[in-house]
Amino acid sequence: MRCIKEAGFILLAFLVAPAMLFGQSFKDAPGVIVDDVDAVRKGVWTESNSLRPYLGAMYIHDGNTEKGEKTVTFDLKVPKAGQYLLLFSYSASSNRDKKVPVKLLSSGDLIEAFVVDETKRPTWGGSFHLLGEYEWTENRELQIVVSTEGTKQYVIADGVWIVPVAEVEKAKASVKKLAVAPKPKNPDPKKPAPKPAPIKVVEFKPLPSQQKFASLSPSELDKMLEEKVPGITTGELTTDEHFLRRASLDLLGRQPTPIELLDFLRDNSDDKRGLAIDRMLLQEEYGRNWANFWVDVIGSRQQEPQLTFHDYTPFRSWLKTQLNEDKSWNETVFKMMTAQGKVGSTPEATFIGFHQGNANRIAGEVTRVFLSTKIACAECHDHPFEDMPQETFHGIAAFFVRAEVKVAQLDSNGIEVKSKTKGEQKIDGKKGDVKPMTLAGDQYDLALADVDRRATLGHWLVSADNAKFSKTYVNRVWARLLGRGFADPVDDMGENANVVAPEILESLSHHFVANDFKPRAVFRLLMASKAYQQASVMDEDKPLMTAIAKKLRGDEVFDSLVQAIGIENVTPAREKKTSAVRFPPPPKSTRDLVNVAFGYDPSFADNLITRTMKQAMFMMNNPQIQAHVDASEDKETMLATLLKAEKDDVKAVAQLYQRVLARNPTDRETKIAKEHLASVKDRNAGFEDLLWCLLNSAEFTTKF
Amino acid sequence: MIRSFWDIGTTHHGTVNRRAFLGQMMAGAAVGSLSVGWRDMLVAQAAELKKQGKSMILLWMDGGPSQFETFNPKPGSKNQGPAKEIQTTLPGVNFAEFWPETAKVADKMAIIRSMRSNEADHFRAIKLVRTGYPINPSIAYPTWGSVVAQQRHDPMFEMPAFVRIGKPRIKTRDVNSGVLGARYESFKVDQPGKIPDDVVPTVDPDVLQRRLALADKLDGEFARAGRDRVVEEKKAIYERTSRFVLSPKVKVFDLDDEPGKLRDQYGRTSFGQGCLLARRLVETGVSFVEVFSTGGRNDAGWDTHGRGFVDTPNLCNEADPAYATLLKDLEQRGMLENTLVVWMGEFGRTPKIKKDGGRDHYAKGWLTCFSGAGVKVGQVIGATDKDGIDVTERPVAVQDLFVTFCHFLGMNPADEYITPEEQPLHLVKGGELIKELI
Repeated sequence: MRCIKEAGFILLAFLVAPAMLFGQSFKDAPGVIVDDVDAVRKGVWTESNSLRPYLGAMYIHDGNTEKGEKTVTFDLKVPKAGQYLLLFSYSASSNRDKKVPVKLLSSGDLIEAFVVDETKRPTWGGSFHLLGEYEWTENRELQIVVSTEGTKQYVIADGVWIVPVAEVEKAKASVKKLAVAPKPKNPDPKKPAPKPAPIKVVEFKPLPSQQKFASLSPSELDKMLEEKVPGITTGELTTDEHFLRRASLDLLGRQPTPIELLDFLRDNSDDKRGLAIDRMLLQEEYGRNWANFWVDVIGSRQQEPQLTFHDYTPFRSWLKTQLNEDKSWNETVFKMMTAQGKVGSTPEATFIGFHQGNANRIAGEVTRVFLSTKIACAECHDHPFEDMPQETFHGIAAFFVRAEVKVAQLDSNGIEVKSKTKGEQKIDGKKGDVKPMTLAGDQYDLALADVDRRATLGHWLVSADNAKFSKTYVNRVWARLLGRGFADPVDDMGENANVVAPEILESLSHHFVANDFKPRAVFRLLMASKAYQQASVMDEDKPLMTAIAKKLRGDEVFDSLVQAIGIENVTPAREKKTSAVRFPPPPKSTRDLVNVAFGYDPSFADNLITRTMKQAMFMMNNPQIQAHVDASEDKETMLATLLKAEKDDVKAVAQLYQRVLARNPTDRETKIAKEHLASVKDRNAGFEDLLWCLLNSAEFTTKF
Repeated sequence: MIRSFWDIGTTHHGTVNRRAFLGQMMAGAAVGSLSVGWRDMLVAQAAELKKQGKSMILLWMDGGPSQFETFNPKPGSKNQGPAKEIQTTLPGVNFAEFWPETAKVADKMAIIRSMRSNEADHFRAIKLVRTGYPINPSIAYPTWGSVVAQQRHDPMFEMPAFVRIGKPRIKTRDVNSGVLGARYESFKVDQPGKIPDDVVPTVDPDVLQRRLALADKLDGEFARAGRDRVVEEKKAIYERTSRFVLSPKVKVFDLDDEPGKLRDQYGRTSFGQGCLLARRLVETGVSFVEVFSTGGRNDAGWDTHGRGFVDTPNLCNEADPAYATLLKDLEQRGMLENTLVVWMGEFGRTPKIKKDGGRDHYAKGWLTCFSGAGVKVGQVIGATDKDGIDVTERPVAVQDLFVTFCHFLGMNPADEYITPEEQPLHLVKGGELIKELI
């Protein structure tokens, strides 16, 4: 477990590494230093200060995700002609990559390519590793590019430094001086540094159950569905090309590539759909896509504290690993409930940390997200429509009342979940302390410490006998895959909710439990059913329908754009923190902008997820997208390349459809496209129109 | 199924009440075939409301402006500091000396000098004063502009109903459309004079038209394949969006065709040009515009804890010509009677002066100013004592402001909208009409 390792290292660094705070006092060092805050980042890079030493206030790492897509470029200008050492700064650790590609370029031309082993401590001094010695002319412009191409572990980019050879001693001295500088926080040498409170790790021991849980086969599922709604599984199955788009969007969060599509169409094996599902479930993008989904579910209702922007990168990558390793969902959720530590190094602490440890808020959200039970209105009074006294709500909150969250300013990675030894849940206007109590009515003693309270709640929450937990999971996945949940909206299975076909939902949840809460088992079952593979929806307004059209989520729209036109994820330089701008918001990457426009809370029923003018304007006019709607021969866009290689218009139209919509055009569509090309005359202009239309089509942003 | 209407409906007050909805549902056929007559009726009502309805411009002094250095100076008090007072066009009503232009239009203002709230922390106070509801970690109440936008939603109007000009000084303290969702989020103009991203087509209008026509045909094929609902929704949004981006009205964001002299009068500052843009937007029919004043020098804005003697005059110098010119400009164009202009921040500042002229947060005895839309102007409401510490006359609560906004905008504070959690919320909860303003 990567994150636990990282937590261990912090402790180690705390005890043995000398405190090296560069930054301000490093100002008069010889030569030119470029810190990561001034570098140009491509892709998402996470800021961290877990492992010393490093340059400036932090270092950045790639989160070990989206390998090959991310780079960091340090630009600098040689101040005067002479001989220089080129130094590269990183914070070393065993979870770093051994072969980090670093390139030195001058005005765009490659001078030299290096491979840096970031598991080894840099030897030159401090966090600096010597790349080489060079003679440079005055004003020579240099770029040092760190990429993640071919790496398998964390990649760190912290800074670069060019030191005039004549001043090497001075430079070494400034590093050394800093290395022996006293720790700023503990100036009294006689007093030992305070030991961090030992973190009590609670082991996950799933509660035993007397019930029998049976697995379900796709055909058994179809049979049950057919009995409930005749015709729902016997309609026409959808075509291979359409099946692949639907399944690819559902599992990978993007449409298939033309190659994936052609391979699939050519495949003659009997169970090619099942094989494709299995293949995609093992792709890295599966975990990424469903991590994005759960971040949307959980993050949509977390309000940012003042002066801190929520960064979900660590949580997202933790969830991704959990999913890609097919970790049992009950254990994943248990960890969220019991986590202690900083969000940046213990990402499972994000659930409680980003709710700022507010016990009432957490009680409402834990039950809503994981049990589809809305108890939040019992915070202030007995539930108006259900048999739920106020005590029910406060009993849940009492499990969390001793969790304490320390909010860090500006950097959400520093938000820390800790334990208090005191504090009880109280009801406004009523006397006494509320005892922790599950929704099953089991009461616990006030003597329980924080972690034990949370572990008790966690064990009950995810237990096999707590049917709502497994039902909630399968219902949410069902709703995403087939279009509408047994309960709709998906977060309400309360007494008054109209759960259609509860017996089928129960069988599905039993299948989940029988398979040890493994997420992949649910996908395999649902997607192999005939219900999932129906060509069209019988009646959109009736309950329990399949093949209902869904809007793509923000990340799915972005990843579909990457697939369609190769759009880059550009992150502008981070605004510097100065005395005038004390709280600069983090820059928004292209993915962030797409998420702002297209993202939504997946707990909402579909009729609340509306198209907006912002979305339309983004697709119609955004300059970054429009730059790809350019067929000029001197451009290297997907469109220009396609048109140069394919001179036959009909074939080019087909390729464009495959690329953007992952299907071949119908004869009527080909005819419309041909007529358009004829009317526009200029071939390039005609195809630019066509690509624009496909990106702006209702279909491109819809899964159906 | 009530939810499918939640953002469409309006009654004569602006909101469909739930019982009326249910009635419709009982009488109606399948929910999917949303009866055309009903929808048309709602659209017609919204349009009518917009026509009769008044617009609102909120001048937001981000960070909390001082009473002493603005519209409630206390000459002779130890709390006043070096700022002198000047006479206004209202006999007996004086402003701080940094407001010479606004002093000349004091007869177009009603000044409330007795605001009181319990929130003196920015985050909490901003939530309260921008939404009318006290902070609640469980419900993201919408900012007032979103409520107005929801009330005035008119699908036939090609401009956004709610525009924000300028940026909040600290983004994590921002308040947005909350439970009202993306549709009623403000359209943001970060820098007045610059048309926001993605509005201007990157191709000639005739090319865009050509593409839209082709897209229509191709979407038609998707509809033929059984996805007509998806296409119908997309078409509606694209029609509205293309009307907006191709509309001559988009020129409203370009300030270059305003006379240079008038632009000078507003002040060539972000807030000055923002006020000019606000007037232009209201002129084209936008229902709610908010303009942020932050002084532009740093992200402290009106939050002048330190260096108050230096920063506060600068902030006033930016706001004074802009505010005064806006009131005059609106009046000269005959628009003031239909436009409610409100000047305020999240709270005021402490009577006690720190040694460099700074003042801390103070929620007991701050200020708001109303103009236009039929407000009874040329008066001061409420008062604080001679040292500006306690409210001595006519305390006014934040909720009272919102009830009063409703009155002048022709909305009913008791009307409800339904949150995605199906919780009905009143436009305003509690509060009383400030009768003196009528």
